[in-house]
Formats: sequence, C-alpha cells, structure tokens
Amino acid sequence: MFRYLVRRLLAAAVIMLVITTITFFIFFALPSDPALLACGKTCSPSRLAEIRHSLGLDRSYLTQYWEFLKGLFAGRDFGDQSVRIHCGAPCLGVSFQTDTPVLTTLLSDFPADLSLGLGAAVAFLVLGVGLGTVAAVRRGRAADKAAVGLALFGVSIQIYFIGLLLLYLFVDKFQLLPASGYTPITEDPVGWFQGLVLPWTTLVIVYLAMYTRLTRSAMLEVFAEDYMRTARAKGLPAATVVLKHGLRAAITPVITIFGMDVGSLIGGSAVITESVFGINGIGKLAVDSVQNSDLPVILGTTLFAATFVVLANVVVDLVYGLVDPRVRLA
Amino acid sequence: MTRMTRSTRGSRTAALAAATVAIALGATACGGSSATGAGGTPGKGGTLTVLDKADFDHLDPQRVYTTEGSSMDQEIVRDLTGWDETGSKPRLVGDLATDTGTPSKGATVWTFHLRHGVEYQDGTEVTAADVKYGVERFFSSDINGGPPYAAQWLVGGAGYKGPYQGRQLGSIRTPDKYTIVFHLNQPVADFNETTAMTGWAAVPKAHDTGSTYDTKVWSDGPYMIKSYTKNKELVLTRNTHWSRSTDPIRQQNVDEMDVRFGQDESAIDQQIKADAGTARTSIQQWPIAGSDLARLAGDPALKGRYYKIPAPGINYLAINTTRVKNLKVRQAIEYAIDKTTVRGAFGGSAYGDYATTMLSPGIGGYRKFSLYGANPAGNLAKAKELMKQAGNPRPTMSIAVENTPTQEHFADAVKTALERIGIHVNISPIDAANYFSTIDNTKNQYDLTWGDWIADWPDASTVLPTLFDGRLIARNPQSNQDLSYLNDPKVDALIDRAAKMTDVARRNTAYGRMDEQILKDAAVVPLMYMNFSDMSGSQVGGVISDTILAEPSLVHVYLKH
Repeated sequence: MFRYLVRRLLAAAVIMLVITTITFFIFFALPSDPALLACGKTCSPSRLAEIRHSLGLDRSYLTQYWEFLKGLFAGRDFGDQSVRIHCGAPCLGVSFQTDTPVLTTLLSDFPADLSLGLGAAVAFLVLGVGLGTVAAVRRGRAADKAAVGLALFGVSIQIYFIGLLLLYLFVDKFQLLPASGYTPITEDPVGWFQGLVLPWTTLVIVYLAMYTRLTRSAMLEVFAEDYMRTARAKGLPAATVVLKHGLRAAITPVITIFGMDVGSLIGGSAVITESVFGINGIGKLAVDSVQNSDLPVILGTTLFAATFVVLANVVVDLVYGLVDPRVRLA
Repeated sequence: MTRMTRSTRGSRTAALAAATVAIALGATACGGSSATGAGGTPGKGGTLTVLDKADFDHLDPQRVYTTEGSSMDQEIVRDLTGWDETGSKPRLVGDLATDTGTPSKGATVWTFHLRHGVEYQDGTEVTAADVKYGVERFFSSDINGGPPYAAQWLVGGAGYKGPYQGRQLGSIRTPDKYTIVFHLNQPVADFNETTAMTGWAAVPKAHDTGSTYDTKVWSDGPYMIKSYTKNKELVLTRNTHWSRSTDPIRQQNVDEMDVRFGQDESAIDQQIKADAGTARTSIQQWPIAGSDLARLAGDPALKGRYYKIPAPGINYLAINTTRVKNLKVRQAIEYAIDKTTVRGAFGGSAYGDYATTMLSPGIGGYRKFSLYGANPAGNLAKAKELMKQAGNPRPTMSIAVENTPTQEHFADAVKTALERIGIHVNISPIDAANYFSTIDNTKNQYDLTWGDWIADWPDASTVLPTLFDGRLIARNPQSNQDLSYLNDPKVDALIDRAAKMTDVARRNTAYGRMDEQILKDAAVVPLMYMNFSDMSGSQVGGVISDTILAEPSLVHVYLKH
C-alpha cells in the first residue's frame, strides 16, 4: 500500500513536469507577445526591448524554462529597477500583469474553488447516485422515466443560461438571496452559503445527468448478476440487497468519474459558473491569463489544475480498495 | 483612448444568445417597475457599488491607459489639468495647477503653477518635485503600459530610463516648490490637454512602490485606497486631507466606493436593470454588453439611470493603400459599403451615428462633410460606375476582423456590399484578445482592416497624426497605427504645419482639411461615431456623462436617500 502510494506520487510528479514543459513551449509557439501587450500603443522598438528585458523574455526559452524550474525548488527574485519582489520556493513565478507571485494569487483564489467544487460535487454525487438507484430499482416505471428525463434536461441546458435565470429569479426578481459572489466562510458562514447556493445548484443541474445515468446502468448490470439473485433468494431485505450488494459493486465507475470531476472542479474548471456568479476563482484566473498572455499565471493555473486532477485519481484508486474488496493495491 | 482600451472595450460586443433570453425575461417581467424606485433626495454618505466585469489594466497613474481605469483614478489622483464637464461642453481647467498652464517659446515650453495646500492622504503637501518625479516614472520600463507622450515630447526623453537609478530628467524643471516647467522638443499647442491625462500627476517618492504601485496608489484626491485585491475588489474610502476648496472638479459625497470585479457583463446588466437590493446603489463602468444594448437602449424603465455617452471615437474600415493601389477602386468601396447593415451588426442606432469623417463631432477640428454622399446605405450605381472607370477589375480582398459574432456579422455585411461591385472578399477573423497586436504588426497586412479609435483628449492631434502619419510606419513596425498604410506627403505636410500652430481656430481648420484629404485619398471608410452606454441603480445620482473618457464620471456621484 505504502509502496503503491509512493510509486503513484512519483508518477504524478513526472506527469506534472511533462505538463509544465508542454504548456511552457506551447506558450512560446503562440503569436501573442506579452511585452508588446504591456508596452501599449505606439511602442517604439527600443522601449519594447527594454520591457522584454524587464520581463525576462529576452533570454532563450531554455534559460527561461530552467529559471522557472529552479524557482520551483529554490525560489527567485524578480524586478530589476523599481522594486524587488521575492518569490519563495515553490516559486511559480510572478504575474506579468499584477506583479504578484502566482502562488499567492492561486492560494487566495483556492478557497472559492474548493467551496464551489466540493459543495457542488457532494450534492451531485448524492443526488445523482440516489436518483440513479431509484431509476434502476423502478426500471421502466414513472420514477425511472422522471429521473432520467430530469437528468437529460439538466445536461442539455447551458450553464450560462441556467445561471442567469437563477440569478434573475432568486436575486433580482424575488430577492430571496443577496447579490451573488464569494464570501469566505471564516468571515461570514451565512453569506458564504447564500453566495454559493445558486452556483452549486447550477453545477448540480449540469452534472446530475451523468451520475444518474451512470449509476442506473451500472446498477442494472449488477442486478443481473447471479450473486444478486442469491442474495434475494436467501431472503435479505430489499434495501440491503440494493444498497449493500448492489450499489457497492456498481459504484466503482461512478467513483472514477467523480474523482476526475472533483479534481478538475477544484482545480478551476467551473469557469463559466465562476464568471456568471462573480466568483473569482482559478478558472477565471486561467482564462484571463491566457487573454493577457500572462505566462507565469498560465503555467501556475495549469499546474494547479493538473495537480488536483492527478491527486484526485490517486485518491480514487485508494477509495477503490476500500469500497471494493476485489481490488488490491500493490 | 488607445488601442488597448479598444481591445478591452471591443469584447463588449461578444453576443451570447443565452444571455439575450434571460435579459428578455427580465424585460417583460418587470418593465416599468423600477420607475417607482427613482426619486429621493441627494445626500452625503453611503457606499456606491461599482460592478466591473474585469479589473483595471492599471491604477498606477503613469500606467493606466483604459477609460475605466482612468475614470476611477480621477477619484484618487489629481492631474495638472482636468476637465470640468458640468456644463454643456467640457471645459479645461487647472486641477493641481492654478490654471491651464502658460505656453512660451512657440509652445515648446509650458509652465504650470501648483495650488497651495493640496495634501496627500497623510497630510503632507503635494509639491512640484512630486509631479516631476511622477512624470519621470513614465520612462521606466517597469512602469509600462501608459501613454507615449512624455517620451515623445520631453527634451532628452529618448535616452532617459526613469528615476529609479537616481537620475532625473533635465527638461522638467522645478524652480520652486509650486512651479513646474516642461521643455518640449517640438511645439505642442494642446500640451495642457495632454496634462489632463492621468499620468501627469504627483507620486511621492517615499511611497512609490515601483511596478507594484497599482494597488498602493498614494491619494491626493477625494478618495484613497482602503483595500485592493487584484481581480477581486477595490474599496475606496474618504481621504480626509482632501479639500473641496482646492479642487474645482471633484466632490466627496459617498463614504465609500466598493468596486467588484469579475462578474459576467450580461449578469451585471441584468442585475442593474432589475434594480433590487445593492443593485440600487450600483453603477457599471464597462459599457452595456452588445447583446443587451438594443433591448435596453429604449427601455422606459431605465429613464434617468441610462447614460448614453458620445465618445470622442470612431469605428472605421481602413483600406490598405499600398495593396489597393487604384484610387478609383478605393472610392468605389467608399460608395459600396452599406453602413446601415454595418451598424446593425454592431447593435443598431444605440451604438452610434453614421460617420462620414474620421474626426467625430466632439473633437476639436471636426468639420462636417461627406465626400461620398450623405446616404448611409451608399450609392451602388456610383460605385459600379467607378469600378467601370477602373477597368472592371475583379479583385479578391482580405478583411481583418475580431473573431467575435458581432465582428463576423460586420465582415459579412462588408462582403455582401463589395460582392455587388465585383470584389470578392475573404474574411480573416483574428483572436479578439490579440487583435490589435496582430494587425498593428506591419508583418500582418490585409486589404481591409477593421479598427476603432478613441482620442486621448478631444483634439484632432490625438487622432489624425497617430492614425495617418505615414512616416511613423517604419518607426514602430510592431505597433503601427496607420492601418491604411497611407503615406501621403500632403497629409504629412499638414500634420507638421498643424503641430506648430498655437492658434486654436487656425489649427482646427488645418485638421479639418487633413480629415478631408484623407477621405479624398479614400484611405478609410468612416463607419460610426461611437456611443458608450452604461446604467446605474435608481438611487445613484450625480453621474456626469464624461465625453472625454466616454465613461460615466463619478466625480459628483451621490446616493439618494
């Protein structure tokens, strides 16, 4: 188990390195020039060269990449004339746009994503698996059709649309909730909840479908197994059969998908939801950084998102072992 | 103001059908309801909420170059001169300076005397040395992004690298604590309008934090920074050392301004339109989204809180004169373009009036003329006739536009119009975020290029010389603004002559002639004089339509109680 974990984490580190390398070199293949963007209108070639120098973009790609890697482990100092910005290890660089260390920004944005992603994930997992189970048990009947229909409606609707609609109804029209946005839970738990309930609902509506359908089909498959018939035949209560024998076996594929969804949601993939509800998370940061050609932030957000997806996968593998006794980690 | 602004401004046109649906729901469900919320009396106190879809490019006065950032800086930072916009026309006044400055030696030397008793947020007095230091910051490569004028005009500017290595710029003199003198390398008759831009301001050396000054701007205006988390929230609070008696432009009515960044523009539009809760005391700085504009423009429920601000700006189609060499063909294009369909793509009449000149009506030097007919739908017969005179060539032309639905519709409108006179058009959509850095690079040339331009101050000198001085093309190959690649000696000569004129009336006549010459060259099709439209909640009062920045100005803002 321990050796397995070490091996997985080492593999994860290699994946991260590959991801940073690819992101880094893709950036330089793009036509946008951060120095030119910073320089503004009527930028003379000499001024452009100075800015390129002050951003460190005048050095070779390999040198820049080496500096980046070195910063990850040893920290770096930025700025040459007006101010020195120290960026301690693990240093992901300093934003071209805001002159703030990228890690500082990521850590300050992270609680929003964590709240948004985890809250929504718990809700759509519980609801999705619940609906899926009901649908499987009541296969072909009204409850099944309602569950599947509801899920289908959710998956076909645009986040952008449902988000604005919820805002309109609950904030603007009936004023049941205050203007949306993120308030840290440490500051105001009620405000935190009120600000997140609509974004959570939006994400649940969108993600619910997959979990319902996945659970339903996996359950139906398990129901056809011999041991289920045996369980029923030996007189176990229906609930035990369905939940203990059925769901436990059917849940593995759901966990796989769930791991990836949670990882990417926490890592900032809920960007449209963030934008509609004015939650400044890592997803928005990532999109803005691409538009501003802010290389250090692009690298930082990519690495951050990748970390969570990779970590979530490791956790999923561990959870397999707990849920399904047939799985052994070695 | 600037292409940088324009690209950020440009994104307002991105239309999303879903948003339209939600806003439509809003429009039918509560039309007219907010009229009851209007009224109330002006008062002091309260918190104004500002809803912006994105953070400012900068708040550092020497780095800011967007209209949103400059407008917000007016609450925090005072400049040498400024605009009093309470009257029917903007009036230039002394801000930090006692008056609008005194030119001498043919407008190559400008002297400003500072007001006594203007204080920073810590109670120390603003001095001429601080203004000199502030202007010197423009030159540092760390303080990038701002306007180029200091570097262009101050003597010795070419070799100066900013104040951070302890060097000063000799061409800015401060003979005493309250006097500052600028020595320019060319006559600049409207230099005192340049100094109304945000960077011509004081920065106290002791509080300068270099490239991180954006979040730590030291206030000498009515409001100071209480907290600022980039991309999230800026909170301004009263600067108790500011005094109305030394400031001819600003008031200090609300207690705080809470600027929140990052919500989607359609969500902001919907929220302010609905006028519930904090939205009543909110205002937006980014214009209404293009997809919402037509619907909101005529909404009677928004009466008194909808601001249609005519911008000193122009939306145009540049014809590359080095690629489309035949004047007759260019003239045919002028006649063939149907501006009614073009304007439809940009959002209809709320977007702006049809243009026939490059200078818009609010700009000094504007003269009304229409060389290619007054009918905005064009003149197809005339266009065909000109193509015939040109020998009926059947050219294929490229057109560069942003890759947004709005601009692609615009490109379609141009394509349809030009196909009628036998010109085949290939549309080249370019990533909107990188649009201007792409087309401004002389390596990337197109036959037709969309562009827009907002003057830095309402004078032709920040429009025509920047956009049509052919000698600048080689000088700034990566940031060329002459999208027509026009290099007409007649235009260049007029530019040089106008720059030297200190008499405003004569200079304006020269710019009017320049505008006409550019249109005679058929180097550009002026499309629309732009408006920018914003909304506020029903309890927000005292908003002035700032036609210089094309922003709702907050200098007199108050909340109704």
